[in-house]
Amino acid sequence: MSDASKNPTNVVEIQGVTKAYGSVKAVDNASFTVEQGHVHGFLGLNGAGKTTTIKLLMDFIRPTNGTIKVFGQDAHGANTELKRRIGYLSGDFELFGNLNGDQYLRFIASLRGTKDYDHLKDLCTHLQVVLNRKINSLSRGNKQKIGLVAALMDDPDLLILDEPTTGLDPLMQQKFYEVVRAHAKRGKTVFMSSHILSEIQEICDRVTFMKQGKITKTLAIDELRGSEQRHVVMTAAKGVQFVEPLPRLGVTNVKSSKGRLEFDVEKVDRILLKWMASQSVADVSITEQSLENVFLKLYAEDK
Amino acid sequence: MFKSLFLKTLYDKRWFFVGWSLGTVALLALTAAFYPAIADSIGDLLSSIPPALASIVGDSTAYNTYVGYIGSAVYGSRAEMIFVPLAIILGLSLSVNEELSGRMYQLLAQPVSRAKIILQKWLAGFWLIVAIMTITLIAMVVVSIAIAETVPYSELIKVSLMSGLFTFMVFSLTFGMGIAFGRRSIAIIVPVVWVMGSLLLDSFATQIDWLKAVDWLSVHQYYSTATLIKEPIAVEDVLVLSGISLASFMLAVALFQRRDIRETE
Repeated sequence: MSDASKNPTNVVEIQGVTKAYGSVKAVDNASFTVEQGHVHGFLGLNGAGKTTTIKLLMDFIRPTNGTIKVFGQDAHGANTELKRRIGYLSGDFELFGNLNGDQYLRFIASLRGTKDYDHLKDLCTHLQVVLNRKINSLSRGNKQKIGLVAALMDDPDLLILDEPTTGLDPLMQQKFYEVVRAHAKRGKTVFMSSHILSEIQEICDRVTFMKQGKITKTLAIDELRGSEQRHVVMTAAKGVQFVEPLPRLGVTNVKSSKGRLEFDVEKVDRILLKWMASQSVADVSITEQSLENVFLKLYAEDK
Repeated sequence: MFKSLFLKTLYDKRWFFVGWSLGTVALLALTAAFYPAIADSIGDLLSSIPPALASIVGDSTAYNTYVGYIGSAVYGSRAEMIFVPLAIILGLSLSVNEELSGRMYQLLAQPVSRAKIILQKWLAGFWLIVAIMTITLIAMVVVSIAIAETVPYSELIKVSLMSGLFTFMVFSLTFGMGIAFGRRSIAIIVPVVWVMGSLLLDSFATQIDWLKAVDWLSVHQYYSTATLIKEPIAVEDVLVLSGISLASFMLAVALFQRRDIRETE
């Protein structure tokens, strides 16, 4: 019995996947799952291996080792069947530029065997897609809208997006987030790579971090929001130098420079507040733990 | 027009079709149209050239008749000059160029098998070659009527068919190599080396005995319009050219299914 049939909520299961190009491992023994109905973020610096992982998932390239299952089926063996249930968009997608938007979408619809043109028309109206001009003559944002409509036209069970908001203006990004959220609300799954932390924090439920081809961490965004961990920044009054807080206060990642003190703390309690009050503080800011902190910590671990 | 990849490929290549049709018609029909002006002198001129070079030109006595001229000068030497580049450019643009430009991802992201994608592109290439050959054939008929020369239509159809098959074979070889390996260099080198090598082999095999033993490697053993104009189409030649086309396609299907999509050479 496959893992997927034991756990039917896993839409994507990547198990021990390695993709090597000669001696270079673009993806190194990666394992993670994407659960049904989630917007799952995939975060990492440029060159971390996110796009390679997505290409493996889409069966554009084949793994050196490991297994990739989508809806419980082998991503390679059941490739054509699976593609009926998958919508895909990449930020650097090369569309057929010699066609106009209408011709392009009709062509993709014919390849997909799409019957429901109403959904397609609704999407075009909502995203204000330019249909009557050659794709080559359109701006990056307008091309992305066409790509997004093509990815969503069949209302796919799994939407795979590879840095989809690259080159989009902020207004278009918000519209894009709306569409992705609405898609997930209908119980569909979205797997989305990005290196924009705010984007992932805004629309994703879970996030997997990738670093130098390795999966380093998966966490739920709610855990992050529910966490009592805080980031504290204190600015001293003029001419005063802070005394570094004692480790018994539970602080970590302490950084101190010229009247400024930064640290993370598991919980802001009375003892810590008392200590802060004893300092000559001109300003203090206490912020929630953000994805940015997690990300920076993850990368700071190596230094 | 956009109901299948096959039709979309024909649409994409509409200007390629117009351009190459005009070019082919211009070159071949004009060459044919000049026949009355050179008919008296060309036979003597060709009979005086050295034997090694004569093999490139073909049978010089063929130039004494319009039908022979069509087979040797029009569909022979000049046609190859235009059909080989046509086939290679078409083969490259339908295979490796699309892959290296990143546009292949759009097709592979859809529920269409890799084999079906290759088949539809290959068939589109076939139809484009058929269309260009048909237009050239019509132009040749019109020119023959215009210069008041008679040529049996069956002979024109015969050389057109074999030229079409030869062009399709070179196209399939380029397309097959491009799809199979995803490398532009391989897709160009294989057909070019074979066609150019065949020309050299034909030239020197008449002078060097040991080369005669390997002259079966020359593509002109299976495609020679000069001899074709005098004789019926040899079934084995059709089988060899079709077989190479089909084998190239099958190799492409087999290897493309197994390999990664490339973005760089």
